[in-house]
Amino acid sequence: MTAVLITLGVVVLGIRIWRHRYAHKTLRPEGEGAEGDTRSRRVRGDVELIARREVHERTSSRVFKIGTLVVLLGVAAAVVIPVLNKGATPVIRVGVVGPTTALTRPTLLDTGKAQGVKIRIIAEHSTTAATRALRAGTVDLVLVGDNHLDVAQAITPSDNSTLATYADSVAHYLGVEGALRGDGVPAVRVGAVTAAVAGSADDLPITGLAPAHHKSANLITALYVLILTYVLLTQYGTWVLMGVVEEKANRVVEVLLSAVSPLRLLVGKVTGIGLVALAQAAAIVALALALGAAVGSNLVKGTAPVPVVVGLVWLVLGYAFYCWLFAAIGSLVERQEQVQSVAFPVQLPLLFGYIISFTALAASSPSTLSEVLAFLPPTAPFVMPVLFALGQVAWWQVVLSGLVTATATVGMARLAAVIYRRAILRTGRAVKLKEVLRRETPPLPA
Amino acid sequence: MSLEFIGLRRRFGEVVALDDLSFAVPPGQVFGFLGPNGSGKTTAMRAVFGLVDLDGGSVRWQGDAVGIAERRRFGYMPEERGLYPGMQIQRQLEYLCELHGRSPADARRATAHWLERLGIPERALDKLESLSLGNQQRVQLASALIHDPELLILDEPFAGLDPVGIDDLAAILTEQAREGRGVLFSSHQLDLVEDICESVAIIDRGHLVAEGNLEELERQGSRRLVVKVEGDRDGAWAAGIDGVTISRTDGGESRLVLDDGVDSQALLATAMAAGPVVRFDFERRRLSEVFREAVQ
Repeated sequence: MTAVLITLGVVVLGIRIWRHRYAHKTLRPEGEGAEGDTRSRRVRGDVELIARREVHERTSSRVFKIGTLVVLLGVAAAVVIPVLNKGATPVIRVGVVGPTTALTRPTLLDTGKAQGVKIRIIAEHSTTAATRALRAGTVDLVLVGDNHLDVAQAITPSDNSTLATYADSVAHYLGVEGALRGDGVPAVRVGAVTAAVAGSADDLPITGLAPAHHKSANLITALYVLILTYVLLTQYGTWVLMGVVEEKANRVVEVLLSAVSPLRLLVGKVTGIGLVALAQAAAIVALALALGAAVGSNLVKGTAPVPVVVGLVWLVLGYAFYCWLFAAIGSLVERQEQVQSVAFPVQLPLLFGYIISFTALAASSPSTLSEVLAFLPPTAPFVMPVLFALGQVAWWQVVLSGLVTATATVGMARLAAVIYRRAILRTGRAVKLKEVLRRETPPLPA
Repeated sequence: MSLEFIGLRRRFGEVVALDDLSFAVPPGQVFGFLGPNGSGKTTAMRAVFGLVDLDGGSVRWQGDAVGIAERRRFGYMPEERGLYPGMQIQRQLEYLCELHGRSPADARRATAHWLERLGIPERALDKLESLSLGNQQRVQLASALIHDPELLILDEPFAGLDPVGIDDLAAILTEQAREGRGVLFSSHQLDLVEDICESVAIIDRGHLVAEGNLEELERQGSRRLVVKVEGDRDGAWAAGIDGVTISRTDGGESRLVLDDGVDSQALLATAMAAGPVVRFDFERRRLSEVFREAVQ
């Protein structure tokens, strides 16, 4: 998780430095920075120049600043409000069976208190009744005669949920207290003099009625990543589309294309917008994780780092694939009012991929359809991270699908450049795709 | 060394936009590109910048096919003006200058120079949309000039300018040509073209119909004579003379069109016989006449 946070932080910082350099470069007094100035644009490249402009103009606009702030506030609220709504403290219900010592009850209560958890002790008259209560969910943890602990689902060493942490501590304290008693040491409440040490030989065993659900964290993560991917791809695709429409509508594109090729202009544009998008996505994820860790939200506790990384890589691949589609569609539009109607067909595969992935996630078992869609570039950015989180695909399949998407992205970029080049200078009305593909466009203005 | 259009051809469905169009734009001249609406001027200009897929022909600069490297050395003002409305003027011009291959330092210097030259240095940090339309037009011109181009191609640059703006632009174009650059611009303002151009090319339906030095074009064709004979307001003295056509009479002046074989001295003698001759001038054709004849 730390690695993810650091990566995201570096991306945001990099964008800020880049933007800062661009802003100061144009405002430096004449005569300064001669050495840097000797580097021609050819070295830096058209793409970088165009991308820099996109980054600077977007991030300095009031709409972007306010929009980002609103999104971050929304994310912060989504993280914090559930924690606040949970009430004063979480409650763990402990069923107790059989003989216990006088120290047991204070140990159970104080351990909870130390962890900020309210403990409710429920006396169970038999092991059978306690097990039934555990299965029914009326108790969360069962202590059987100071000998062992039962939980509904086995706890893994990496499980850092509230219940797992509490159960581990109690197992340790009671285990050591029991060992001391066995050695004839007077009753000492271990929890009062030492911190819990996981994995001590004296710890009481913790038994799960059901095996550990190893993928629970992955599933939660996959859900977050899926939602984030859909929302961000839709949002950033629309940015690309609007950016292309804006340049066409204000006619600046003809000036630009007199100096740079359509492909470079497009690459620079989608790169610039992509970097801003990545920075914004990084800020959203970083804020959610940092705030979640600070307030003790389950958002962080239930997040698995590998699916997060895989999901973010697919977010980038998805943007790389879809940005060309949105750019090509944007070049067909004459006015900004037409954007919604032309964007809809492109948003359909996004929506389809999202729904299929969501269904697979809810069922925890992918259908054959979703297994196929995981290798198709339009739907792979949604389906593949989910299948990976579900453990339904191997690494090589993820890589293979990534290569397929990357290859398709190259083809999509070329096609988009052709459409863009033929359509972007057509003004006066919306251009039909078949006209562009046939190259039979109406006469140019006089 | 010049810009050459060599056999350009382009059809849009049934519409012929360029029909074997060939002519050359020499350096150091202001060159007018004329033609009726829809004659293919914009298509030809766009072809220079690769903005139109040609069916045939090529555009050459200094003998070589024009590619992206050459285009970056050209300045272009499209017919449909366009810059970023919400972008700071200084940053916008510097960006476009760098996009044409200039260093950031060059871009800063050139931006400062042209904003000063066009009289809007104090607006450097303003957004383009905050300027009047006239000043926006100046910034658009600056965007074509900012990278010190070897060739200027301007599509209807005078459209929408007020008289002061027209004078300023005409002076800049003349100055650019004097410094050795080629300047090609299209316009429907023929009087203006006549004033500032040394050469023109006239196209109709995508085909070249007239081209050359403006003075030579105006001298071509039948000789034109303006004669005023006192007491003869209708030019009756010239009526019936073989090879002489009275094209117009106005205020006692008769405008005559002479066939090749007509002896002007004999005509003068005839006029003097009709009364005192107070005017006897050969007149060049106006560009508008050249244009109308060419595109008929």
